[in-house]
Amino acid sequence: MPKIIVEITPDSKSVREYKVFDSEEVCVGRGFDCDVILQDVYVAARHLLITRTGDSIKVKDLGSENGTFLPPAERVNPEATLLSGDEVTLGKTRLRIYLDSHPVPAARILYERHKFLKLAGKPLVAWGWVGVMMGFTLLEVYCHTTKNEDFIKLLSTPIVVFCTILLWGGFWAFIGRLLRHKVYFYEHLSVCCAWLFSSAVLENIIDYMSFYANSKLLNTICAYILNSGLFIITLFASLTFSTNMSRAKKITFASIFTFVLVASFAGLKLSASKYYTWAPPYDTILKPPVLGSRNGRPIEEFIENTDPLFIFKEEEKTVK
Amino acid sequence: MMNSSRPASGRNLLCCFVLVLSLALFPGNDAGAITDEGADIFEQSKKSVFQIRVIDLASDEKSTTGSGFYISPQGHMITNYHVVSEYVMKPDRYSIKFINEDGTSGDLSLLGIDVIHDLAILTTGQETDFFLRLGNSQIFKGERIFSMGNPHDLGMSIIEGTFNGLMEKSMYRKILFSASLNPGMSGGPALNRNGEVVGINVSTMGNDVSFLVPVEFLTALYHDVKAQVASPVAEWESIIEKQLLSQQDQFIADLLASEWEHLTLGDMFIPGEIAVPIKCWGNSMDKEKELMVKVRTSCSSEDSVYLNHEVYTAYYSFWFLHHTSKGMNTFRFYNHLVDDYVGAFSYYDEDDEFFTKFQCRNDFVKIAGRNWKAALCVRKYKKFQQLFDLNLVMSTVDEFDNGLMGAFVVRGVGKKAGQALIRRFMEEIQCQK
Repeated sequence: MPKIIVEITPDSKSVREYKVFDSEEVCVGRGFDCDVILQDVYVAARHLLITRTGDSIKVKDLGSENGTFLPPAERVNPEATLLSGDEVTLGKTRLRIYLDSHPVPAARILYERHKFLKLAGKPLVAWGWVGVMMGFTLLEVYCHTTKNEDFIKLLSTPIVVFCTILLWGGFWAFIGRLLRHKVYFYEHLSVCCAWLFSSAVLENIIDYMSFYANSKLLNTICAYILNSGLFIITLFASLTFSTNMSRAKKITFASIFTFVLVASFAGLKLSASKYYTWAPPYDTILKPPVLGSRNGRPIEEFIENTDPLFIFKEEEKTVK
Repeated sequence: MMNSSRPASGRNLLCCFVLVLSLALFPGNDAGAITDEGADIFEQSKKSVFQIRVIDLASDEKSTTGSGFYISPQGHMITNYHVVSEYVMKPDRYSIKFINEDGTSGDLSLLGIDVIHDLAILTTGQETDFFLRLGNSQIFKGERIFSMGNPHDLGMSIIEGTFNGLMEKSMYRKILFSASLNPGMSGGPALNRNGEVVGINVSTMGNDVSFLVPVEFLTALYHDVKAQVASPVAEWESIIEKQLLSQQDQFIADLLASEWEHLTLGDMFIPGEIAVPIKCWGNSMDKEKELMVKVRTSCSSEDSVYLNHEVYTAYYSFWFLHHTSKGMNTFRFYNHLVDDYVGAFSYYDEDDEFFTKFQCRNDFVKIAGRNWKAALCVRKYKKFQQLFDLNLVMSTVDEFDNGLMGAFVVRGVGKKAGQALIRRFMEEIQCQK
């Protein structure tokens, strides 16, 4: 349960940042040994100590040169008692301090976790997700075999998926431990499983769509967009659990990281395609008629529609 | 087995008898007698046969070698198109030279080509007394013929082999020559016992299976060249395109006008050996552990036209594959269909300089009352504005546990002929019911 919530508004930025603390004492300053590290040159290395006692908040100036002020311009000398939601100014940075018992619900949203997130953090739910994902992978592997393989052989891919999920959870738990002193391992497992599961389901849906729409391009574009979107959401969720970044920062980071990853992958694929793709780029998806069979065109119409294939605009320019 | 061995042993006895008799009658003869005739022919013809070199102008070294021979007192020299193809495609980067056994050499200029039958006529521009007379290829199967050339740049050689007839069933008629032609001999003459040209060395399949271009195609090309008023400006690419288009248009027109032979696969009739040069093969896969039975037929023209060292064109091939599930669920079954559909075409001559990239169209088509998913892909030959490669791949997608897949590759055809052929191909698939 968080005990002190600090809202930070740096002078130069309009973005607010929130930091949530489980302890009853929080040190604010420019130095690395503080709990809230401010990038403000007018703030001392150890500037202010915030202490909670019951429902009251005490702030103590630790002998800073530039001082700490209560609005409008009252200097804290050296201590002052605040109520939840009161503001202090250090250098050019404003801090607003809340308690978890703050009466305004909007402030409570800052630290109270949504019930879905609470659910995601339960070990049983997280391992349940992992089980579902492994089962789904097993089904996919099974559907790609043409003989009745041994169960052990089929299990190899689900095991790889299992390890990937554990790696993801472990990595973000480690980051969380470093940055927030909180692990959130099960939350990360759930996030990773939800990502893999929705990606697999969406890919199947895209395959069906492009099969019926006769378009390889649709498939490629949808796959890139949806997978990028899913990855951004997944990164956002894991960053939320493991870091104290503001929402805007998380979205920016997740988007840029995903974009770079997808662009490098696409670039690599494009540059390598010259060396291994000999086959014509036709749509290579066939699906059983479980959703009904689309009625085919007459042969004559099909042939007539192929007329544009014989026009090569790009090449006409390059031919001598 | 026993029955067939008796007459054979009888023949062997007879052969031994003839051999012994001949030894008795002509005691001076020995096994070496066979080569004497070759020696005479070599002696007669050696001044008419040359090594042809295509010289890379940048390095001033030979990049290809072949053989060639004089056929007229005006200095007309014959070789294969494939020997001089580098020069034909890039005349500003290569030149052609000939070199004789005695070291005499000179420049050659190209007068005419027949890309379909792999022939080229060159000229030295000088008159000569040493030219070979053209005969005809209407000789008896089993007759001894002699081929000359310069294998592997090792020196002018003569080899002896057997004439095994014109391959009437091949797409581009050739003579089957049972002897071992080697690289470097291409373009050299094949002579009968009178020293007349009956064919031109062209290719080999190894194991004494070699091919010659019948001399009649050379005669036709020679007359064409002689009929030309002035030597052609080097518009070789348009000449190649015209020759390919006219050959292919004629072949396809004949194909479209004829009745097609059908094969049965599953409950469908599919095109089989639709023309004389097209041969079909079949195989089936029904392994105990596999939950799918596959039956495959594949047909092709087995012969093609050489364009450059990477590109062969003007051939046709198609296959059909029938899948039947042995109790697999439909998702498993279709996942496996996709594997065959993906691998329907693989290309190893993806030459950026020569071809555009493929453009494809996917669609659902109704063929023989069934719904198919089909993709037609087309690419163009960059140097030839009207020549295309067409690839069709299609698969039925209306059944849960069985499917018929088909693919058709048509290379080096014009748009109209290609489309008409693809259309007929699809129309010829029929349902038995």
